[in-house]
Parts: sequence; C-alpha cells; structure tokens
Amino acid sequence: MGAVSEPAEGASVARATLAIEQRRQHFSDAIERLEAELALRPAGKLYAALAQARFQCEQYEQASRHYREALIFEPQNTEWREMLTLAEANATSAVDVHVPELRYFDRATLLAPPPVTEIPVPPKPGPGPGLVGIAYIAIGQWLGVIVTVIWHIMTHAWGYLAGFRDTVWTNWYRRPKALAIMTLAYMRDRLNAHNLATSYPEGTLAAFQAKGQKPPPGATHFRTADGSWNNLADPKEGAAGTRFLRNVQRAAARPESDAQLLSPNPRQISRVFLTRGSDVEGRAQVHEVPFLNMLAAAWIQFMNGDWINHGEIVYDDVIKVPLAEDDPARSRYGQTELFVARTQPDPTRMGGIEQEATSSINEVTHWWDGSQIYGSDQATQDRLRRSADGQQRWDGKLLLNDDGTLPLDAGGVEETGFTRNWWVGMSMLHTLFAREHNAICDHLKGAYPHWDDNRLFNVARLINAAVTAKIHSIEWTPAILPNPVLDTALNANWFGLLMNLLRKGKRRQIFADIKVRNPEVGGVVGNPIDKHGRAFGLTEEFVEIYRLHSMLPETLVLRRRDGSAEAEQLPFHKSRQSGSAKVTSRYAMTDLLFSFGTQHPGALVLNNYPRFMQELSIPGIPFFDMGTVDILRARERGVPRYNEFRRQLDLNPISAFEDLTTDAEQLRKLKEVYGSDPGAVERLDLLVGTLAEGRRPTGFGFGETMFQIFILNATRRLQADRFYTDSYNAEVYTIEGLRWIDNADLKTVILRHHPELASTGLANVKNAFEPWDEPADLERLRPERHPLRAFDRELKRDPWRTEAQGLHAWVQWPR
Amino acid sequence: MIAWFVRKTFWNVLGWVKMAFNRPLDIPVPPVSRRVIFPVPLRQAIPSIPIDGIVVCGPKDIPAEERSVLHALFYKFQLWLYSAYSPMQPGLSQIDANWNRALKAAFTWLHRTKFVRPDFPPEFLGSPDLGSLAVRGPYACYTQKGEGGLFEWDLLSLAAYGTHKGLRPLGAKVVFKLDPVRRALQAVRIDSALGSVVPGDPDWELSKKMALCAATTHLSLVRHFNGLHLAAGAHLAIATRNRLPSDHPLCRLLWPYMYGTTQSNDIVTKGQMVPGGEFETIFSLTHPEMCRMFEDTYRDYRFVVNDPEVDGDARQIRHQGFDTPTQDNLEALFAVMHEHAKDYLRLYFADDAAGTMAIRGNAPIGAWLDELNRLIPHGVGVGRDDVTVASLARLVARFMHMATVQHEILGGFLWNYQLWTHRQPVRIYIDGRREPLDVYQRLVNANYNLNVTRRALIHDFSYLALDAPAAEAMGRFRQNLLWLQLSMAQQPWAMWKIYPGALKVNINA
Repeated sequence: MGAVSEPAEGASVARATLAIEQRRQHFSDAIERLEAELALRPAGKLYAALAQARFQCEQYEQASRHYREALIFEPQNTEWREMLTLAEANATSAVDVHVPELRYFDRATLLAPPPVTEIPVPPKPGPGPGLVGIAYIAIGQWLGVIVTVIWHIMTHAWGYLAGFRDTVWTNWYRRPKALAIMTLAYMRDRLNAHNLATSYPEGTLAAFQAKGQKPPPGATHFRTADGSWNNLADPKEGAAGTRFLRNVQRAAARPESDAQLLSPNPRQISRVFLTRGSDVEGRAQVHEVPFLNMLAAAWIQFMNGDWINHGEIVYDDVIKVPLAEDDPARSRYGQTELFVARTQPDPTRMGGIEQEATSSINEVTHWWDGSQIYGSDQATQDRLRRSADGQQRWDGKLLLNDDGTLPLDAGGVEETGFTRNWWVGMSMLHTLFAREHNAICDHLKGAYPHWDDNRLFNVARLINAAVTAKIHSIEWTPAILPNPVLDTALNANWFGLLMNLLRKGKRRQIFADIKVRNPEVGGVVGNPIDKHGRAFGLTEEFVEIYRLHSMLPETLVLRRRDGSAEAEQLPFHKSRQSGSAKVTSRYAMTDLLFSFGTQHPGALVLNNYPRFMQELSIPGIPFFDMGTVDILRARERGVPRYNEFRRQLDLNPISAFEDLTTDAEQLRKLKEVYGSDPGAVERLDLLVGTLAEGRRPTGFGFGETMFQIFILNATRRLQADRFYTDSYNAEVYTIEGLRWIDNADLKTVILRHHPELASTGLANVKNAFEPWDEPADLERLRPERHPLRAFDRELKRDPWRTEAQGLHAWVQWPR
Repeated sequence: MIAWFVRKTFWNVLGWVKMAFNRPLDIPVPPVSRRVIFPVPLRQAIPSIPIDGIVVCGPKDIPAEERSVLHALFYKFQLWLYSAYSPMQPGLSQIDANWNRALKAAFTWLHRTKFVRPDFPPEFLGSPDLGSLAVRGPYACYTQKGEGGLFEWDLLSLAAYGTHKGLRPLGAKVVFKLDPVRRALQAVRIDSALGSVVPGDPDWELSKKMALCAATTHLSLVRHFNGLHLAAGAHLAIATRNRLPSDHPLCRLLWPYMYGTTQSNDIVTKGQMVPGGEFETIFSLTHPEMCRMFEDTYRDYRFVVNDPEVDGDARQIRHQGFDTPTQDNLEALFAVMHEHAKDYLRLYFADDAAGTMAIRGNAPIGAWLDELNRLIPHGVGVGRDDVTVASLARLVARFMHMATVQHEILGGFLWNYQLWTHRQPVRIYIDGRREPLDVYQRLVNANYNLNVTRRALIHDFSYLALDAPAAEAMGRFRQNLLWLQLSMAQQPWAMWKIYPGALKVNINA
C-alpha cells in the first residue's frame, strides 16, 4: 500500500496488536482456571464458561468443542446451541484473521506527492475527425449552448414557481414525467450550489499538495493506481488517502461529545429499531424486496469497495457502549459493555489552519475507477497483475486460476483490490469483473496486436470501470428505485435525454453523430467536466446513506441451477472471509449467480437488520454489533442527525414522529426511545429516520432523505471525473472500448462468462437485478416482481410476456 | 463500390425472392406407380463436380411428382448467373470490425421483411467459450472422450485439404478437461497449424478461431450436406421410393420425411458444390480439395450419428460428470420419435407373427433394408435377417430424427452461430484480415435461404395413414410433440435448444 504503513512498522499497528493481546490475556487467565476446575468436576455450565472464554480469545474451534461438550449436559440450552453455531461459523470463516493485514494510515505517505506510477506513455493522437466530423462537433456545441440556456431557464423558472416540497415531503414524483425530470434537475442544481463542501482548509489542494506539480505523461490518458492526477492541476484530488469531503455546512459537521455519542444508547436503538422479528420457531423473519434479487445487495457493497472506506479501526481507542440489564449479550458473551473501536483519525490534520471540526481519510480512491478490482495503490495492482509463474505478463490481464476463479492469499481469502468485509457475494462479483477485464484485454489485443501489457491493462481498466459505472447508473439504481421518471433521468445522465428518446435499449450509445454539449440533453458521459466549482471527493454523508445492511439475509439459499440437489441454507457468516473460498470450492460460480438471482434481499425498513450482523465477530472483537456501529459512526463522524441532515440537504424537517410513519407500533417505540418532548425529533438518528420513512417516492426501495444525497452524487461521480467527461473519447478508450461499454449491461457481462445461465430465468429479465423468474413459476411475469417492465418501451405491447415469448417468434408453433 | 452495391443488391433481391415465394411443400399421397431410381455417381449427374464416390439420384430419375419446373428454372438461372454475374467481386475490402455493423450491412431491411435478425449466442459475447459450445448448440456433436480422461473435438483431418491462397489451413483439435464443480468442460489445449497452444499463450485466441472455423466448415460441408443430404437423406428417398409400395405402412410413415428430397438435392447440390458455388466461395477449401474431402468423408459416414443415445455412448459423453444440455435436448426429441415409430409399427408388425404381420417375412422391408445397406456408407445397422419391430422402429426413428432434428441443428440453426464471423470465421486469412464483403454477403444469403418456410413436423399427416389406427397413432405423435413443446416452454428460452415447434418434416429447400 502506498498510502498506508507496513504492518510491522506502524506504531498504531503495534498498539492495536497490544490492545487485542491484552484483552485476550484477560480471558486466558479464566481459561486456565476453568480447565483446572473442569478436570475435577465436569459440568455443563463450566464447559459453557470455558467455551465463552475461548470465544472471547477468538479460539473458535476450541469454543465449538466446549459448547458441544456443554450441550451434552443440557441439550435443550438454546443459547449454547446458538453460540455453537456462531463459533463453528467463525472457525470456518477464520474471522480472527485480519483481512487485509492490519495497517494504518501514515501521515508522511499521505502528504507526500503522488508516487511515480507505471502508466504507459500516451498514444500519438489519431487522425482528426475530418470535415464532416468537425461540422458535427460544431453543431453539437452550438446546440449545447442553446439547449443549456433554455434548459437552465426552464428548470429554474419551473422550480422557483412550482417548488419541490409539500409540508414535509418532496413531490416531484407526483408530477407529469417531463415536469418531474425538470424538478429533479432543479433540486440537483440547488444541491450542487449549496451542498458541496471541502474538508480541507480553503485554498489548499487535496492532501496539502504543492501547487504546480507536473503530471507524468501518461496521466493524460490513463488512470493511476492511487487515483492521483485525475485532475492534472490538483494531483491528489480524489486519490486514495485523501479526506472525505462534506455535503453539509461546516457548522453542522461536528462530532458528538462522548455523552451525546451514547444518547440514546446506540445498542438500545439497534435492538429496538433494527432487530428482525421472529417466526414461531424463533427464526428471524426477513422482510424481503420482491422486485430485487440478491445480486443487488452484493452489488452495492462491491461498489462501496470502489468508492469509500475509512480503513482499519483503532483497537486501542474504544467507545464503551453499556449493555442493558436485559440485553442477552450479557450472558452470551459475559460482557456488560459493547466495545466499538473508533474510526481511524486523520493523521494529516494541520492544527491551527484547520477549519473543520473533524475529518477522516478515504482508504480507497474516490473515483469510479474500479479500484476495488485493481487496488488503490501500485503495489496491490502489480501483485494482481503478476503471471502465475511470476513472469512479466504480455496480455494486460489480471491473474486468475485456470478455472477462472481468483487466486487465494496465504489466509485462504481471494486476492483482489479490496477485500475488507469479504464474503462470497464479493467473491462472485470480483471474479466476474476480473474475468470481464481479461475479456476486454482479449478484445483489445485482437484490435491492437502490437500493444504491450501495460497499455492493454490500463485501457481495459478504463473500460471495465466504465462498465461498472454504467451498470450501477442505469441498471442497479432503477432496479432498487423502479420509477419511470427516475429511469429516464438516470438513462439521461448516461446517454442524454435525446438518445434516450430516439433509441431503445442496446441501440443507445454515448456518441451519436451529433453529441449535444449539454449534460441533460446530451448526457453527462462524454460531455465536458463540471465540478460546480468544488474539488471532487466522496463525502461522510454519502458514506452514511450507503449503510444498507438491511438488504442482507440471514442465510444464503444456494441452489444448483439444474435443480439436481436440494437448496442449501448457508448461514451468511459462514461465507465470510476464508469461508467464501470454501463455498466457491463446492459451488460453481454459475450456481452461485443463479442462487443470488433467485433469492431476494431484505427491504430497507425498520426491524429488518440481519441478526448475524448484530452479533458479528471481527478480528480482535468477538462480539461486534454492526447495528450499534451504524448508529455510532454517524454521530462520531459529525454527520448530523436525521432532522438536521434534512435541513442541510434542502429538505423540510419533520415536526413530529407522526410525519415519519403511521405505524402505531413504530411511533410508540420512537417516542419511548427518543422521547415525546418537542425536541425529540431532533435526536432521531439518521439511519433510523431513513429506515422509518413511510412515505417514499413511487416504487422506491428507500426514502427521499437518502435519495437527496443520491441525486447529488449520482451525477457528480460521473461529471467530476475527467475519464467520464473530457477524456471519455476514442483516443483514450479506443473505438472498441466505447463500443464495449455501449453494449454492456450486467446480463451481458454474466452471460459472457457464464453462457450456461442463458437457459435460466435470466433469459426472462433484461435487468439482471430483477428476480430471475422462470415460466415454470409464473405464467406471466408479475408487476409486483418486475415493476421495471411496466415502463419498458421495448416491451410496450405486453410487458408481462417473457423474453422467450416475446422475442423469439421464429419458433413456429403451431403452423 | 457502386458496382458492388449493384451486385449485392441484385443477389439480395434474388435471395429474398426465394424466401418470399417459397411455400411449404404439399405432400401428396404416394403414387401407386413409380419408376425405379438408379443412383449414379455425382460426376455423372452433375459433370462439373468431379466426384465418383458419391452416388445420387440422376436428374432424369427425379420422380415426376417431385419435379418443379419453376424451381428447376430458377436454379438453372441462378447457376447461369454464377458465371454471368457472380455474387463474388474480387478486391473488395474486409467487413466492418464491428460485428453489428458488418451484419447490418449484409442483412438488409429487405432480408428483415422475411426473417428475423440472428441472435448473438452468449458463448460469443466474449472470447468464444469453447467449453460451453462443446455441450450446447450445433458443435456439441463433435465432443467425444479422448485420452487420459480428457474430452476433445478432433477436426485435424481437415488439415489434409488445401485452402484458397492466403488462407490458413483448416484442421484443429480442441482438448477439454472436466471441471467437476461447474459440471462443465473447459478448453485446455488446441492443436492446429499454429502448433499446440494452451490458454495464456499469445496464439490462444487465434487457435480458438481456427478450431471454430474448422468446426463450422465441417458442420456445413461434411455433417450437413455430405452426411445428411447425400449419404443418408438421398438414399432414404431412393430406397423408400424403389422398394416400398405405395400402400405399404412403412412407406406411408416415412413419406413426409423424404418427399421432395431427390428434386431438392439435385438443385441444391448444383448451387452449392459446382465451381463458383457457395461452398467454394464461402469456405476455405479450393474446389478440387473440397471435392476430395467430400469423397473421403462420404466414405467415412456413420449413420448412427442420427441416434443421440447410441451416438452419445459412442462418443462417451453421457453421464460423465458434466452437463450435456444439447445431448439431453436431442434425446428428448428422439424419444418422442422413437415412441411414435414403435407405436405405429406395432399396428402392422410383430416379431413372432405370421403372414403379412411377420416383420422378417415382409419382402418390401427386406428389400428396403438391403437397398439402404447398399447405398448408405457402412449401412444402417439393421439387416433383413435380424430385423425386429424394435430394431426397425429405432431405425425409422433415426431417419425421422435425421430429417427433422439433425437437419435443423446442422442447417437453419446455424443462423444464430455462423454469421458472427468475428468470433467464428468461415475462413482465416494469414494476414489477419476479416472476410471480404462478398464472402460475408454470400454467407448471409446462403444461411438466409436455409431458413425458407418449409412444412412443419407438427403438420397433420394423418391423411397419409392407411387406416384409422394409423391416423390415431399419427395424432398421438403430434400430441406428444405438443407436450414436449409445452414442457420445454416451462423453462426459459435458450438459443441452443431445439423446440419441436421449430422442426420441419423434411430436408427440402
């Protein structure tokens, strides 16, 4: 890692290791005493106590053995049985191992100029566009000027006159499509004007870089490993190891004091508002989203790995969250407090000149550059690009095993660019896009046989990253927010309104003969860069709204695509870390993709948080409630609570919990936890508020508060990136690359690498995030499971026919 | 380019006319009186094709009821045009690097008025997935067990035949290993003129193209035309016409499957195999070498390829630990046909019966088998001395399967595979060029015309039945085809699947 210190050298690593060891030592003493006592007097409770101590020492194999011994004495003890399951899963997944190795940010490295990167020299400019091409460009530019003026006047006049909010909630989605799109554009313009804030002192460049640095020659045409030089004038803008920025005003971005941090008690909030209900047998009841499949849940984590991560937590600086008397964790883990290691502090803070109350560092590049696949530093990238025999590659490819799976590291976890929070869903998507990268290399090599390894790799990376950006923009987002207005708006972001209007489906392309130089009509991609006067970086607020853990189920339902075996219910945590490779050694990727395609994720509502995440074991901390952490992190990082967050984001605050939901039981709980006084709504946590929002735009899988951040960033991630704007052209991407991106969608990518899935329910959907329903289940596809089809122009005649029924009439029957 | 535009348009219109005006053949009841067909060497039937080892029905022997003056004149005109205004124009540029644009230029709006645009097989979305093609779609027929527990496509024999100047030689062997977790095959080595190449080698992608070029050439020329049309289809027609009387139950059963074959084979052989014909100008082989290959591979023909179960066992691909979807699909279709053949033949014959019911004593059947065994290279595996109802039913099912399923998968089915020459070239130029415009256009038009509207298998042929029980048996057959279609419709559509509803009853153009 370029931006982090090596584990063995960093002082923080030493402190963290010491803190972990000291905690374990406490239980080691107990283990000795318990073993001595058990030698004299075997008893179930003693075995359970020993198991608990082993569990706390992260000796999960031994803990499992002792729980089994305890259960011999008390077979009906459900708590021990549950702990046994947990210990076994932890042992399977080796969750005591740090993945990746423990490492911390290093001030000197973060503040250093961008490292010398191994990018190819830029190609010689190709032939010009010719006279006709020049004429087209000129027409596009002039049209752009005219359209931009008209569009600006129209949206602002409309926005000013019609507004976009009722008493509390926004109302764009109740307007006719054209007006709704204009309203969204108006809302986005307001956010761009008021909600882009830096967390660096005014006047400084990202990571306090010296001005006037000279970019390396290839930076004009290729992404660097650490994301530096995207902006040739601000070397580390958006690079790995730079700060998260803000979408709220400076005054609102204040970390909460220790007392505020724990008020209301975040563990209580986790238990009351997040815990899933139970069925009659005590199993968690998952509130599923009928119109999505599990690939959608895995996908967003895959994307988050590209965009955001705060890096390692600080083991020697913990927040102690008291556990209530009735908290079952007290007896299960023998703790009275829950320990939450704090977010890593920003080591680049400059004392007196800092204007922000807090800041933290993004471990990965902020750009949509595929850094989860390629790494955020040169060393990782080089490691992933090596050949199997360690020789220099010639083909630009990433290293894969012969069977197309990712190679494993020494700990048995797949090797890729970003492996934090690893589970089999990540393995699937990382493998898929590593294979996609290699397929792009093959394609480029066919067109440009003389290209060397480095050039092939770097162009393929650009293309592959753009494919993921496209899939996210016009497939994942409409899938989770199936609303016709938004579908058009998102396609317009990518292709432009004009292309969206004139062409259907795969006939759409970024570059028509005439590219209108306006982001709304001509599309953001391929048009000029626009940062709205602010350097780019993802924000702390962006991080907070992507806490979508409720989408995860308790178990993964693993099926063979040919139905040759009973579906296996795999506890989710068994697929974590090295458990992932154990799953992929038993199931083919095709079977896993099929399984995910046919399982639903959880809904983003209250009381739908995965139970296993409320009792997670992470390296160094055997009992870790992610629900509590999700609440705490926003408070710790100075992200405002729900009502202030809304104010900051140009939304109306709620005045009472009744504005939020009409669910009597939720209202009762909200008042019980947050109080009934007039200021209670101000204490409402962001996550709880967003999950509680009962009134959502039509079809939406999440509410408008999250959507507001989304409106801003969905466009900005593209519009502020030179490689999606000024440098999105044939000279940088190649004609073949642009065509590859135009033709790509998730279904195509999946089928490219797993053609056998063509005869599954994937054949019946265009958007691979929809459930892969088969005709055997459904005579016709139903609207509640496939809402996107209702407004798909290509399925105008009958949206509820299967692809097979609709598109392949040449199967003549009967004559 | 203007000359090419005019030429291309002319030939496109001609192909479209064939497509537009072709009508499903009306199949009459077999005439009582029929003249005997005396097979002659191909060279004798069509002097411009110098092949003696293949025997066909001579033009003069084409039965009167099959003759179509219009068709004959049209094809005569077409043959004349090959020399007067050839569809080929030397010196043209290569097709567009964008497969979509290349197809769009060749498959015009006019074509689209009569047939759908080809679909892109998922196996071709990236670098061709040979492992998937080894079990799905038309090339699955080449997969066989090799040495050391590996599987292979062995098309190296094609290397013995010379190609046009500037083209790479044909011939390739693909070795697959079994991936037990995926239950799939994975290509691990390709032997060709490029040497022995493994994944990761610089020539791996080109080797894949070499393998697919060999496969598609072999499929169109050897498996389809030489094997199915000439070695089996033609002789089924000849033997049935020569040896089974009009009122023979077997004649009535087989009649729709072979009616029109002699006429069709005659005109199509001319169109494809003469110098300047489609085979020579589209594929890699020179005309003399192509003729030599036809003669050699005709001799090697094995009729058993029309029996999916026996063929699958012979190739040792059944129950080997990997999925065989196309094999399963073919077996399911074959099972329906086999059931029908048994059902029907049991109405008339029994192994241990006497008189006309006695299968071994049935003279026409004996003569029919004799003729088939004489005409079809290596025979049909059933003789007059060992024939039983069961063996006859299986033989009949093989013929039905050949004329319907095999003809579909080797012919019209290629529409979705053979046109994507960027992935699966029909000829490979040494200098790396893609096919020139005229070669590709002719490939498109040839495949287009393979999909002319023909009489469907599901059509009601009960009017051919000799009696009510036979008509009912034919009805049951249709019913079973319908059930299979419905059960297949319960699963998602897939390009590699052969649906009963898509099958035609015979091999006529």
